[in-house]
Amino acid sequence: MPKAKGAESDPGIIDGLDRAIHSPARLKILAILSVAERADFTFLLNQTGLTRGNLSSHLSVLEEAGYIDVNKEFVERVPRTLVRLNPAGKTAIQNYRDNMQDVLDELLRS
Amino acid sequence: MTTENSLKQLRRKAYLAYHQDGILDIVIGLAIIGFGLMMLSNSLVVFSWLPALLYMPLKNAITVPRFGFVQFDSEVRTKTQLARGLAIGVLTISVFVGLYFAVGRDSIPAVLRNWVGENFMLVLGGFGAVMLIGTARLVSLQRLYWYAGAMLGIIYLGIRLDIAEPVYTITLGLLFLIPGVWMLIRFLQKYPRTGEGNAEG
Repeated sequence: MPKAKGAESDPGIIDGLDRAIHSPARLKILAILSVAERADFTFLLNQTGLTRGNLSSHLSVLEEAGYIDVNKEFVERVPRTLVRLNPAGKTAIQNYRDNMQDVLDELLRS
Repeated sequence: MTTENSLKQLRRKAYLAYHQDGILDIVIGLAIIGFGLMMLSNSLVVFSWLPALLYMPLKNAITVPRFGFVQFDSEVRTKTQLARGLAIGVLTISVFVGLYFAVGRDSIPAVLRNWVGENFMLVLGGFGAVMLIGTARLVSLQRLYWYAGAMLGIIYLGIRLDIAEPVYTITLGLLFLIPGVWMLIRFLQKYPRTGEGNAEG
């Protein structure tokens, strides 16, 4: 499973969680992208409620982790950044979900 | 709630927000008002659909810069939906045109011909309602079902109360236009244009 650049490793049972996804903002971005074929920066901005700088930085983390494809294009001379969840991202979400389930099961058992 | 249901709700919420700009309602309203005005002035009513051409330019000029661009389905699915929509539209118009000529050429029973002649606007409204229901099913917008019902209701009342055809047609158009303008104002307030295009911070 790919890890985000600079991701820290946590001791104990949450070691298996993907730090690129394990952030409320990035999880929200991925959830939105998982229900759309592709979306642009403005759409993600409106849906997540993040600031431009925050969204940009979270998208960079997800792009570096290889979970999203980011394409820049010009529409009537206006730049548009289109973002799409790629197959690796879909797999990562599935893995994250399974690992999170394991963590919660473990916590409830202890 | 399961993860799948949550994602469905998220998709539904985003999808509905994208269509809460009132543009569809305004375009339909303008087409119906145009139809009414053309009836009033004995102009060519066949051109009343022309406001439909405004839909995509308005969406691109108003909705996308404020709300952002989103494509909910794959291109294949989008094309399939579009093809289905066109098929429904062509079929409905074909049946309507067929009926129109059948009435004109005495090729249907006199009772039915007379009924269609007396209730021509209701028949026309029926076809309009079918197209609205078809669109509602395609784009999953519940309010279009209400519009379809209101369309038939207003035409029926107009006929029963013996109101002039252009008057209740224009009233019907206003029924679409006014909520559309109200939705557009709310949309513009909720999603102001930032003036920074789509460039990220």
